[in-house]
Amino acid sequence: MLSLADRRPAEWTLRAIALGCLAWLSVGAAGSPAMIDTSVFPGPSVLARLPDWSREQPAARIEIWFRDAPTPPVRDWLVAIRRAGASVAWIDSGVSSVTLDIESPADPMGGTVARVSALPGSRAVLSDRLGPVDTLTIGPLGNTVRLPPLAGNIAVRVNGTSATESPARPLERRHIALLGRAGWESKFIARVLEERGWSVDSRAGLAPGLFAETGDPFPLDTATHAAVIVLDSTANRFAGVIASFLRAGGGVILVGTPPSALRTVAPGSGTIRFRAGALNFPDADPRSGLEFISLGPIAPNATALELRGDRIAVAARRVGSGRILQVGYDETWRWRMEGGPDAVAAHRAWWASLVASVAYRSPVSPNAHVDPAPRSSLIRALGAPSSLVPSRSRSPRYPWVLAIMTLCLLLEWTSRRLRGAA
Amino acid sequence: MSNFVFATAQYESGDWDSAPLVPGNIIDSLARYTSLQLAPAGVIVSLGSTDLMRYPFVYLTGHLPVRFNEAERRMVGALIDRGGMLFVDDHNHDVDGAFHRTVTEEIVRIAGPMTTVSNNHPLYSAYFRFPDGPPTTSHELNGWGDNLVHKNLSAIERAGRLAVLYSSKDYSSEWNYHPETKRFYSVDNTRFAVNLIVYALTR
Repeated sequence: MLSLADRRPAEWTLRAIALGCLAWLSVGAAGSPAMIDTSVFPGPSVLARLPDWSREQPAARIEIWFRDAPTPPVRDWLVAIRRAGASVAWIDSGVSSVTLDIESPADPMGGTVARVSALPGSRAVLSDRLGPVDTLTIGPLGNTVRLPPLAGNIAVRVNGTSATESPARPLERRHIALLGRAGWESKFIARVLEERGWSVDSRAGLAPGLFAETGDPFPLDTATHAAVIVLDSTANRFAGVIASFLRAGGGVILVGTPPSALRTVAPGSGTIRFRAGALNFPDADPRSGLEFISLGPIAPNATALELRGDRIAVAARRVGSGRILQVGYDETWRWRMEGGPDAVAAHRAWWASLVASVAYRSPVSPNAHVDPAPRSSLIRALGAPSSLVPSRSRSPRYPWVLAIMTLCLLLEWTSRRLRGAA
Repeated sequence: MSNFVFATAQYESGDWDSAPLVPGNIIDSLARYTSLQLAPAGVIVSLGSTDLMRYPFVYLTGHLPVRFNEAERRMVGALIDRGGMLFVDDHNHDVDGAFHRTVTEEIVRIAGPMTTVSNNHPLYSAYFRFPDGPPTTSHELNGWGDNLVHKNLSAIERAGRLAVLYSSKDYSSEWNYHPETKRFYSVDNTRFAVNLIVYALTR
């Protein structure tokens, strides 16, 4: 057993060691900024470091301050670095929540519609490959704007964040096929669609085995036709071709009672004719004066698109990759001829909208360079942003130092307690 | 689906009803040669009435001078602009008669100048084939002492389609026969009328 004179220096030594450990822990508990790099985006700093991070995995965590959303290539590069084992996180320093949605109706005169959502009150600039196109002040529910024909991808920039989207491919000069007996409805449907810019290939029945053809309605193929309009039972012999066209993504519009051979794909099954009101065509509800065939009951997966009272006048359903619409009005030409001053334009626009709702469009190839929702994409790629205070990691020596301090204090206490025993 | 209704225009001036048998004969021919849905009888519609718009094909003929009133001009203009077709036939078969001069003035005033319909126009192959253009009428061949044959029809087009078709060939006389006399014809002389209606319904 050590004497009291020997214990005192030992006890002081143990206290000193414990105090030293405590001091080290107090400073080191705050941790050192274990990040190797902290960069503010945008700027060349992160972009310049990406190759280095790719060549040699950073030992410490990478946290990046983003003021604006990174471009898709930079974002994807960071994801790749993280997947290689590095710890990558980001801190939100004002990345704007901006989204862009582009709709190009299947209509030669439909134009392009852009829907922009961002923080209300913020200013957005729409542009295409050639430069700015329009500026918007974002409303409470975003903004919708109809655009002229544009070149390349469309971008919207809010503060420093850009969202980009590709417009749908053009209609690629597909035609509309029109099948039915010669009559005023087929004549005027062809006319209004041609006025709208479509090419119409029609086959009008004149007598058994005798047709008046314009263009080439057959072969009916999604490569050449966007949609087919069927007016009556003269299309029965083509039912198989029409059904195949529909399942392949082509659009079909049935007018009135469907031909018997197409009843399995038709949205509706009704045959009773009604007139909703007097034979006039008010601008507010021009089809109210038309006779129509009530389409109900409709197929289980069909949707009623227009009602007259409790009777279904227009219905649609999806079959395979295509969409089929059934219109109970089979004398819409009367609306054009007997309606008010706007009837011609309104009738044409209505038929154009029916065709646009079913017309076949080629699938759009994925475009790696568009980013319609950059903030969402960033969160999806790198996770939610970290807290504003940069995290600091603890030294790996921390547990040992704590253990040494604890041991020293214990030995010092034991020594003092055993003084009396000595 | 609506039937085709053969409409004859009734106008204030002149003798609009100079060929009352034409509608019945044309409807009969259409029923014989085609399976078009037809109203069994023609209608008479006032040229100045909004009822005109119920009939996208309208037939107009006469012998006497024609002067439209404002309502008639307005409705004819609307019929043309909305996609209808007006067929006008000079029941006189002459070149400078009162009907021809006055009705062409009215048409030009409403819809602009007329142009000659080429003899290879789709009208001449819409159902039957007429490779030489509009078929001559017996009145032209027999003549009224002038041996005058009008080689072409005239027209005004809208969006590439015939909106007004004007004839000096007197088809009204050709088609205004008693049905009993048709059996004496070796060639049906109403075939061109079938072309006319088929063209109106398909173009």
